[in-house]
Amino acid sequence: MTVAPPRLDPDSRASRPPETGGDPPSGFWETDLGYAHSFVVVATLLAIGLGLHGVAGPVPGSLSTLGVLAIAPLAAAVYVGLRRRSRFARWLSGVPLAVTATVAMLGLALIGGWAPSGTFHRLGLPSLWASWPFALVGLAVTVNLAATVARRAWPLDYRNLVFLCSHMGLLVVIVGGALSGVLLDRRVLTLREGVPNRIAVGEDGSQRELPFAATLRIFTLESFPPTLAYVRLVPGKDDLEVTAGATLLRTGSRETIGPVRVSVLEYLPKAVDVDGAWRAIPWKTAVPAARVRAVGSFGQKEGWVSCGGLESNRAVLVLGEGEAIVMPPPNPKRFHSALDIGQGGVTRRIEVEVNRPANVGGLQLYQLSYDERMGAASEVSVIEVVEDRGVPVVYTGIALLLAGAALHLFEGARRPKEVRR
Amino acid sequence: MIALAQVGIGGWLLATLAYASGRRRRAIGDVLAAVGILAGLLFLGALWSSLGRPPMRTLGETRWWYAVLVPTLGFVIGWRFQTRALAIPACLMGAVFGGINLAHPETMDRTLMPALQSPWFVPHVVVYMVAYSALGLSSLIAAWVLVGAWVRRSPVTPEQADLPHRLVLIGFPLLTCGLAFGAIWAKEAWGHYWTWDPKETWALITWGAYLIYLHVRGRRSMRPALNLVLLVVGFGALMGCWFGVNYLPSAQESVHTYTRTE
Repeated sequence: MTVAPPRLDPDSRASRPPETGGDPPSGFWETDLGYAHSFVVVATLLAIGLGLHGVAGPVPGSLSTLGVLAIAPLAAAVYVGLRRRSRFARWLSGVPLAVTATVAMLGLALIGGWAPSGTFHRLGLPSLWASWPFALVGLAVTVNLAATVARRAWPLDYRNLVFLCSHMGLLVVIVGGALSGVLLDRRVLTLREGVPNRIAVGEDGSQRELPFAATLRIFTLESFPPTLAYVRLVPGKDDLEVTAGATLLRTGSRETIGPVRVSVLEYLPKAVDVDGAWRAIPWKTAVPAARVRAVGSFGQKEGWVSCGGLESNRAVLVLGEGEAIVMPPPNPKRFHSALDIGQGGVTRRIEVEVNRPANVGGLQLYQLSYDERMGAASEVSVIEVVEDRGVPVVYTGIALLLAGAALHLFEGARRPKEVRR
Repeated sequence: MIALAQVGIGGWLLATLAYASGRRRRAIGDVLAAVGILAGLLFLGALWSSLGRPPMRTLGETRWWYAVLVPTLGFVIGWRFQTRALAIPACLMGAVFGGINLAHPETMDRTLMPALQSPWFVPHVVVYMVAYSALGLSSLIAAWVLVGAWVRRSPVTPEQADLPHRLVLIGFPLLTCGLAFGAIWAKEAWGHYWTWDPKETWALITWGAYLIYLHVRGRRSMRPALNLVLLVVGFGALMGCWFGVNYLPSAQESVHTYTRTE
């Protein structure tokens, strides 16, 4: 992300130290280090990564692995800080390595973004992102970022502010993200109504006793009112052609869906089918139902439609040969759990829902799932308990990155000099 | 309501014709483009109001934003940079993307899934759409310059590559903001900043493509034509992220495809 006039361009011949005499360099590694050398290094890293994958399998997500990998960017930063004028330091912090490593990373991302994860499972990888080639190319990007930040950070010059914000932000995000990934503790807490539980279970089956006991008071699944759809059996095929309506049902609503005009004569948000007659009953297992009138080339038809559920069958209004009005299941509006948290003899009430996690003593509680078979009648709520000690680091990186982006935008939106004149 | 969209698209189409027919009709083109932009913005406002939620849920809805934002951005940046070069591409792009939506109308209902009910939803989509608009314009101009140079058998001059570059300087920081907002939102919703979902991966590829452009652009060895080729490639990645990812084998694993209404 280089936009500001660079204070010191590592690739610029003007910034290079004068030749010291002697024989002109002739070997590949003795000439100016540039794209060709970056290509060789990154290709070698990819080859080593493939070899490591064959020997050791995927990258172990442990703090010790991260510690070993972190040595390279730290060493690069120190080296560039001490020997900033050296040929190697210029290359390490230069654009050729940045571009080559980024291209390699994007190439791998292209593969990962194209192929389904099953492809990688067949290669013995949990995913491409846990592979050694990806880790080593990522390491090359990080080394370059650390080196370039070390190069520009001292002596500090305000002209380098945009550069430092964006590059340091990206570096901190990558380091924080890796740290977060390693330190992250993610467990599932399954709660049943009225039953306290403090044991959260990890993906590997390991258990952790939480510093609090959580009790589900009630799980709520709210849905939007349903819509209707017109379905038609395509002649000569087994396919159903579906034309979806857009109007959320209420008594009196009207809509033309495909070739049919539909009026809702009566809408029951919670109803149960009692021998073919739908009755409004406020049970958790009740489902929406509507008595509708449909007018079209078939004439006029009236009847009940419902998406059906645990205790009621689906109801459709058959219009003619191979065509009907149906009610698709309504879209969910809100997944919400009301919990009692007991800790040290004190009980407090918290709410958890999608996009609104709760924080309990440094642990984040997310609404993860419920008993899908029971739907809105679920008496079970599955809460994810996440402990992520890398959050402050990542958010610091994001803040720097955003500051860099804002400064970039400010520069980009400035009128060109010729216009200003 | 759809009449407002038709007025907008009609305005941009007629403005394109006015701009293309010579200098004397520029003022008429400006008026038509402004009418189109006003109608487009009113359409978006009316759509938002009628749906009772931000109209940013499906690909079709984001395409409406793009159709309106490209001419708007073209107008604003054209005024800011005192250039007429954006007028035709901006109006044409707005008309094409709006036209696609008119030709393939989507069923829009008022529902919004719980994961999208976040304060980050609107800023995330809006900065992305403005970024896409700036980068789309940049690539269209780059392609236009490249084709012109190829037809005339003349090299691309640095001056010709300047305006597309300036548009990248506006679009790229916004792309960065979109990526960052998305990561913060994902952390709030699912506890992960980044899950390597195919859509997220393609967002990174797009960002990376422009990142590479910005890094190589200033090199002495880079010819202006090559810079412009990179911008066209970058737009290919952008389209891959926006639409193309839904057709890839990996799309079945994505929670961000937004092609279905449920």
